[in-house]
Amino acid sequence: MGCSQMMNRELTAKIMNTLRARAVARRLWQTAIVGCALIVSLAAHEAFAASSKIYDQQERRWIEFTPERAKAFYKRHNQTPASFSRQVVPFRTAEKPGTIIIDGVRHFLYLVLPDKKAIRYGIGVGREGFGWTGIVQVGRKQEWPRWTPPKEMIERDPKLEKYANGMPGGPENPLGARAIYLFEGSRDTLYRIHGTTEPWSIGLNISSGCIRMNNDDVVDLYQRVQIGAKVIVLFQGASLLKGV
Amino acid sequence: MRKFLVEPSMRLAAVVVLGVSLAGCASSQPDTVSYTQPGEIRNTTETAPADLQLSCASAAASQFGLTPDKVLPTASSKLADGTYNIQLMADGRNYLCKIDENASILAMSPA
Repeated sequence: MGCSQMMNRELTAKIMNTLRARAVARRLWQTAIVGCALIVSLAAHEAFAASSKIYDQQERRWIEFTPERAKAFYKRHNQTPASFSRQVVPFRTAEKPGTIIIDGVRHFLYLVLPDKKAIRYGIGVGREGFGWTGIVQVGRKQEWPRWTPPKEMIERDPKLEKYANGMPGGPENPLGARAIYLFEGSRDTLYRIHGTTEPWSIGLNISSGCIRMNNDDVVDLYQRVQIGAKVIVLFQGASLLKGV
Repeated sequence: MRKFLVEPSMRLAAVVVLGVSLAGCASSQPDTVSYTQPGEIRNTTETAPADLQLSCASAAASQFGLTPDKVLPTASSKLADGTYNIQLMADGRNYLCKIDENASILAMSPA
């Protein structure tokens, strides 16, 4: 093989390597751009899909509070995170004592007390697409309520068909120990504040629009709240309005 | 072993883009603090506290002669100076309210 042929081969190989390297760099560039676009779109999505984060002591960072993590936390501590424990907090409002205020984004329910105070309870609220906002009233209260899944819920989950005529109240009933029925004027909104068989789910966007509390808390609220009490539901991003 | 030859300018561009991309990832993460308590919860969206939202609703009802039971806070956000912007809805109209941490109304106007 002549020297000029070897030089040609080396030159050709060099050119090919340069072209391949450019292709690799181009792919890196494209991947980075797609990555940035994804980060921006996730950040935009996060602004609308409000959820909670919990601080992980082992990993030393804030992580999404998912149903799996909520179950694990409850199993480990036998309670929900401390933020969701029932407590009296300062609350500056012109609303009358006895009014219920629900903050769907922060997962708190407030019962207004005299002297600019309120009892704050942790709650679970509607998952994405099931949140709602509005001003309604307590229309009815029930101990150990019977649960009848709405037709739309049965359509979404055919396993519920067996309860089409209602499930009697009791420890297995998903409405838990008490239900407070929310009305718009004289009309039942079909939304309730109720107990739960899944106490770990407090702090999550998980329900079909009902407000769920742990059973101890809903029993406490039930005995304090009066029929006709005003209920203000604040839920940023919810498209469904009630009573306004 | 074959090595790819990468032009310095392309290498620099790739490093810069990856760096910016990673910085974007890092800045989108919340700050971690060593004194955070186990089980502490916070929200991905910082809305105004419920009592401040209702203070704005009440002030709007007084200022614009609205039925108090029909004024609903629909959105809120925290501003850099620690105050909050709150959007209200009443009778199909929107109103904007600005309030501080002490529940003092700083501004109110139809949107």
